[in-house]
Amino acid sequence: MRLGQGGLVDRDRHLGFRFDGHAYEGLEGDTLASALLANGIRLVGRSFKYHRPRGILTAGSEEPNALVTLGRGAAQEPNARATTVELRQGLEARPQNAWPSLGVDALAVNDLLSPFLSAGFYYKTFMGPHRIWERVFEPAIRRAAGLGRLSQEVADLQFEKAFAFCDLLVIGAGPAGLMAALTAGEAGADVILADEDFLPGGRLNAEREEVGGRSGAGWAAEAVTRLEAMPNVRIMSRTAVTGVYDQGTYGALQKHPAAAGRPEETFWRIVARRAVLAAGAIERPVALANNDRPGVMLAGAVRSYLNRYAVAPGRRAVVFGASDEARRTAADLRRAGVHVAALVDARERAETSDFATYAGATVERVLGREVEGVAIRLGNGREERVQADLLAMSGGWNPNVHLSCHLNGRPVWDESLSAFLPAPGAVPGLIPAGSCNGAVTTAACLAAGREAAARALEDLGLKATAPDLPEAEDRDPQARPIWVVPGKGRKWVDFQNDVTTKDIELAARENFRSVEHMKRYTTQGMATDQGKTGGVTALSILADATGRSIPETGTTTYRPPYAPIQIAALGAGGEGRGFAAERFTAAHPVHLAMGAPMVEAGLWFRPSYYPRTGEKTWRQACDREALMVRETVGVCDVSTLGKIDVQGPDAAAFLDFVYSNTMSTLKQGKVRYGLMLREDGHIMDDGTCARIGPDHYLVSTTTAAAGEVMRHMEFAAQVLRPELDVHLVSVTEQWAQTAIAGPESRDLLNEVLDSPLDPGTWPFMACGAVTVGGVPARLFRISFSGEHAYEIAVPARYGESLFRQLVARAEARGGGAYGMEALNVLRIEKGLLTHAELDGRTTAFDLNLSGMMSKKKDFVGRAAAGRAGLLADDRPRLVGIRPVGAVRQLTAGAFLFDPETESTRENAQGTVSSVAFSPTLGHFIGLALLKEGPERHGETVRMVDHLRRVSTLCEVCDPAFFDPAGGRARD
Amino acid sequence: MTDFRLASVPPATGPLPVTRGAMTLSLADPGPLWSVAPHRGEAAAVSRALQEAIGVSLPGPGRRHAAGGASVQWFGRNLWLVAGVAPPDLPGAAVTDQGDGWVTFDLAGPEGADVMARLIPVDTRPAAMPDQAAIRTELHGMMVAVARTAPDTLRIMGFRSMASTLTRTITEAMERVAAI
Repeated sequence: MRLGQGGLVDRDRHLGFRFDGHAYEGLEGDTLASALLANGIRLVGRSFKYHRPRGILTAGSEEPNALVTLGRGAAQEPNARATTVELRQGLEARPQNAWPSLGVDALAVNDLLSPFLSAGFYYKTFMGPHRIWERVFEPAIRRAAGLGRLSQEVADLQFEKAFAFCDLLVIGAGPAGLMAALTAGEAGADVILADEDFLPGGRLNAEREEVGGRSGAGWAAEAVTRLEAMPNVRIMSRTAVTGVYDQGTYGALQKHPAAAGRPEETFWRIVARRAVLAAGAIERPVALANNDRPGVMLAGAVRSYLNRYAVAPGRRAVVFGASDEARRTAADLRRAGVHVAALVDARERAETSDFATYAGATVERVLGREVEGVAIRLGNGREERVQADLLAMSGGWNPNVHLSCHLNGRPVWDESLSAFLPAPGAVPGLIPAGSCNGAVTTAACLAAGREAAARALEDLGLKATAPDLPEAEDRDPQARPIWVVPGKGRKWVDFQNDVTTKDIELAARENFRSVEHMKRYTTQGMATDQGKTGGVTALSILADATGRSIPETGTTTYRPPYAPIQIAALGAGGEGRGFAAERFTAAHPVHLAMGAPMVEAGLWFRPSYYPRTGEKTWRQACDREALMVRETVGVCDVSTLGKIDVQGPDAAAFLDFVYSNTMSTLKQGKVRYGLMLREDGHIMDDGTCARIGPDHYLVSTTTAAAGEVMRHMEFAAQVLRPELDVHLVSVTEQWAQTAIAGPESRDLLNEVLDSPLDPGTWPFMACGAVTVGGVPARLFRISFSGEHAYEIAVPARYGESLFRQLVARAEARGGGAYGMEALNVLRIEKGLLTHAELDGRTTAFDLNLSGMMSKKKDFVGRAAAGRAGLLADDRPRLVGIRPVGAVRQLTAGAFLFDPETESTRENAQGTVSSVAFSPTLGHFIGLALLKEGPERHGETVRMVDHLRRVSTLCEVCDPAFFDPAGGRARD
Repeated sequence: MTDFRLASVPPATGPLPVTRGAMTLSLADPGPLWSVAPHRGEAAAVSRALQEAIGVSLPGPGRRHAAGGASVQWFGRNLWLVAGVAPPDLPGAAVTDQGDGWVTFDLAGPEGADVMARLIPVDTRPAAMPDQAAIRTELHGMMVAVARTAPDTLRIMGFRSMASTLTRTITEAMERVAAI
């Protein structure tokens, strides 16, 4: 219940919220957990496996029990820790894993079955046929066990990702972090202070103690005010640093208070020259019988609720610990009006006090379904029972070393503190300070924060002015660790995964002695809390069970993220159209206006075909467009092809090196088809290369490989042949390029060129400058269709206008625009290649292009292409196929077999790479890679498409189906 | 000679300018654009020639020089972008027309660094990226060049074909900054 006074909550700001269907009220400054406790609610959830009733154990992000689902509908958020949820007006939360209700949970029967549900239970019990496991056991287990659920609907929530940069990142805003930030801020460093909580101060907000002559919380607030006044300091509250990555990069998740248009969360990547880790410590529960009952709480959390939230988590308390903090807890409780029924101190020489103190004793067992009392085992062996509704326990503190281990550093065991500490230098540039580094008093934390910042400043070349340290508590609490209390009963180690001491001992007995095996066998340390409260205790039990020390047993690997991150935050910006950039050619509006369905080619959008009235299928449009090119003239947007401008005194020598064939002999004003190989001898890309000037070439690439070719050429220029003086720059975007193909292509072109072409100076494979409508343009007489054809390139701003007018003029001649489908038909009819054939596994030899591998020079891939395996006769090599039997259909991706063999994998002779219906020839044609293909022209093979269930007898033939001599393109 | 004419169409950004909070995104017209890559050993001579002809020399990496209507921006390894004027004859360099390859935005207002923090992995706060600083980087999967052309103005250049995605992406970041 709420205390009459005190706390860091705003008593004038009442916030209504709902939990489990009921309406409650809390105060501004509350977490959901403190507001529930203020309303006397102690049962907040059911456990993962046994469906045991659970309460609130902690007051921070380490909370294993109090998991709730926030909100409703598509946007509901499962597994929120009530201890970290900032209360807001209208908040709605529901318990998880309970049916039909939180109070009466049908699956609580699991708890009675617990002797049968120990570690490894599933593996041992649900043996049997694989399919039964998948269809019966696993779905049943998943329904029974588990945490909250996603809505499985698309939520209308906004997340974002961002970058930040600083000289010094301070992780944690407790005493050490605040002091580090003050020291660095005053020295003028660019500082980010990141803290998980919505109120900076850490334990200073939770303890009753003086810092600098005022309350700790007061000092923290004043420090924050000072920091806020510094323009070089950014305070990022509600920001959990979740991971450490290379070169001073840190991941951090910031939650934002709700407001219109504001994203829910920002996932930050913070690049810091130096960092101070002031992450504090996490208190350990004691493994004692029934320690998971609602009403059992960590002592530090009890003080947080009393002092920060002005909430009493019980009426009658037993305090159990082995340090002077136990008396502090008892004193805070008494001050709040909570009766302290017993102070149980496991140390023989307990601090004297006026509480009912049991020195050298332990709390052995919790009584009641929710805490009704405890059984105390006295030093003399007698048991005494004490009535209570709250057990405040502390086994000691585990320094929060997680982030120091993210680059694979292992923490170091400190015998005097009985704790793991960050290994020195575990993360370059990260300096641990304060209680995460073993400091046990507030004064030591403040001093450590200042010292760590001073070290960082020295590294940064800044001078620390070293602000004065405020006076603070400096008395060592003389803590002694308690891990497990002897005695019968189930003692929880990992509350979230329902792992008890027995499970860990069982794992050890069954020879899962490695800590990593134990973790996987018992599931200890998994799920949202990642074993923050129970991890080290589990090690201590495993160490005992295997007769090793804790450091010998070692820790499991601490991996990012430190705190849960919604995938929506990591993937922010990638939803819907944000998945990838959309690239549109200059003529895009024309394609859309003509109703062309667009198809993606890499990031580009290209028109598939241009449907006309009366055409019912894409094939009708495609056939018309292909015939149009063969008979009159077609116009095609080819702007997406990659274009690389190559210049420099050594441009020719460089191109001879990257192309397998020779480009230095190409005459100015001419174009040559070229092949580029990868270093491993396979074909990377093909395309044309035009010589524009003596030292000036234009390389064209396929659409899909433009980026890869540019990168490859840059690599070759910078690394393989750095002695060559050559410059590469992409001009893909500069030029809008249109193909004009067909018997009337020259006539159409002459309609738009400022001066008509002289056929004598424009033979096949010529290139040069022209002007169109007064605009300088580049013209190439090249053909991907086998027809007399050109490609004309104008600066992109004119691309739409030129394409639109060429289409109109082509239509007037009985031609028109053609899209990707017709383009593909035309090139297959000619046996020309695309990446269906250049699939990354084919060589020049495979594609009957061995002649393009020059023997007179070195080039990328030459040595590897000469390997015997890449020249073997039985390699699948390019052929054409056409149907010869009753079935006329060909399909791409189908396999080829000898007609008399079974169509099994072992008998496969090759694959079909491309197919098309040729309107010119009146039947399907295909390109295929067939073993010893070129030697088998005229033979019959069987094409089998196992997926589409098509089987077609085919004749193997030359891949050039149409005009094999090439006269139409040349004349 | 025909009476055939071509119309010039700007990059397809969608409606601009847009204002969100304190920031405004507009389409800029940098005029002619040319990339200049000096041949080996010719950088100093090319720089002098540019200085003489257009009044702006080649800046060092990460910088931009501007004077009158002309500017020269570092654009990568041994590569600069001349804007605003036609380049003079530069026999010691590879010169390439880039005037149609890019869409150029001006992002103006006091929160430019906050907007860019949501878009590119580079610190654009004035201390790290002062006036006339120029970088090449990646913006949500798109290669861009960013330069601070005035204390409160960041000039963002991206591929022309990506103009609409760039507009949408930058506008979204502006909306987020305005809301936070």
